[in-house]
Amino acid sequence: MNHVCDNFLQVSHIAKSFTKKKCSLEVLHDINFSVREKEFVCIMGPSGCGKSTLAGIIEGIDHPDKGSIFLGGEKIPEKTTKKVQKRCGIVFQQSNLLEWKTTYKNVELPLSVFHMGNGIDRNRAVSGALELVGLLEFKDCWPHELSGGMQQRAAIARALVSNPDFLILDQPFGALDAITRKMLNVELLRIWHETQKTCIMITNNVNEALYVSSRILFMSGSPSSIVNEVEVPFTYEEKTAGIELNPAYLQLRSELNHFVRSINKL
Amino acid sequence: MKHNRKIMSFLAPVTLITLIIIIWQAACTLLHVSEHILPSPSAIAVAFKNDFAGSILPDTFVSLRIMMSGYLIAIPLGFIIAALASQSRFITRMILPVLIILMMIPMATLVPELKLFLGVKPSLKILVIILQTAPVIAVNSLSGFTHVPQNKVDLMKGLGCGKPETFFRVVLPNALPQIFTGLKLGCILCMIAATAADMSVGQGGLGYRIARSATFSATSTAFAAIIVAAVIGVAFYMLVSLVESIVIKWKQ
Repeated sequence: MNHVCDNFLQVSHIAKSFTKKKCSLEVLHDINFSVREKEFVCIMGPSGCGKSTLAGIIEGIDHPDKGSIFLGGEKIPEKTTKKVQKRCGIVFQQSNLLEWKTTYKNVELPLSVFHMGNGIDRNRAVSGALELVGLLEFKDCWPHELSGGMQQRAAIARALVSNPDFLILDQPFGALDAITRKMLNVELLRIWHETQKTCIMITNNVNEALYVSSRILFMSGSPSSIVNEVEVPFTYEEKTAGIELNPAYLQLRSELNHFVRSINKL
Repeated sequence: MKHNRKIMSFLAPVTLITLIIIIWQAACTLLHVSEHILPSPSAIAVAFKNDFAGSILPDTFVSLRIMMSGYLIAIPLGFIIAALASQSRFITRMILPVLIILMMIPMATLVPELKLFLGVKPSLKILVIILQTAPVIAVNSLSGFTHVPQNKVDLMKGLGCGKPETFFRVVLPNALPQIFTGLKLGCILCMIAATAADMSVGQGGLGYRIARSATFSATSTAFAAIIVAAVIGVAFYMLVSLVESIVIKWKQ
């Protein structure tokens, strides 16, 4: 069974408005896109365009006013249950680790919530996830003892530990310095390559989007919709072998930067 | 280095206390202050030795018993009030001002009123302690329960957890530091309320001993009892702090 599902995750006619001080503000206006299985899609857009709102809806944390999400052809019900949420691994904007749990216990949390595995099985899953992000030797540290980059790695391990169907990352490296961010992008691409997970990442950084994703979707300013879609035609091997000097990559990057500037002006 | 710092943190307060005792003793002796007005530390020590078995020790037991009964009832009571009130913003808004008012009222002043309803019983003192400490425990726990960072709530929502599971997995552990603030304030108020209740209810207890000794100008016995009360208060506070440092391991 090597069949790849083209409409693995389908976001269909999502709309969302917020009411503030009696005036209604439409943030998301008819968002449509679909993600192939094992694909890495980045979503970009000007700040305040509702990227995080959209992420919240896909994560099942927020509810849309209209539209629905389909996963593997099945409509995700409005009432969130553990069974549904188990299919989605979430990496938040801040690492969002629980400060009263050690790194190990934080990563174990989804397994404990979903009552998955016990004893040796669970230990193997947690250790495996920690190893994947390179944090195994820090498993007994408290979150505040980890650096910002390490905290975000732990958050990625936590999102992966329950083996979800897809991963959604909402600006996961936004608060990190440029060097750590670059390093974590390399890590993230490797993890995606190793785990073959479908990933959706919200970002505001063209370099990051180009490096990790295989397709980039652009949102307009609010009320937003998807206004552009760009395929990133580089393979994993090309990306890991010094893509920064590839003329085609540089060309695409400058086009995308130009495009981002133009939608930010609107 | 670490060892030195430990010795320092013990030696520093002991030095000051010793100094105060020496100056107090010297002042009383050199200025010939009457023992009935301000007893010297040595007079207090003598009074402590003479009255220890006869009155101070039994009164200490009475105080300890009512304090513990009151405090141990106030903890779950304050806790349950806070946990229930935190379930709805409306109830939180409704109950918080009442709790704050209860916390501010010196409950011992209500003893004459409470006597009318309950008569003079040891349980009257326990009631005063509960009324004084439960609100401060409830207010602090409630503040912990209602100030949960949104991203942690979202984390639990993202895992498909309902309200009760979110409460036990995130809200409660997140509130623990504030809960312990409440418990520590509670043990201070508990000591004060117990002593004040002894004074106005009678029937033994350190507060009763202090008031009675003062009436009969046995000032040195009163001071001895005050010092015992202070030592109990400090020990009680340190015990709660110790439990705190065992429970809240991640903040060291």
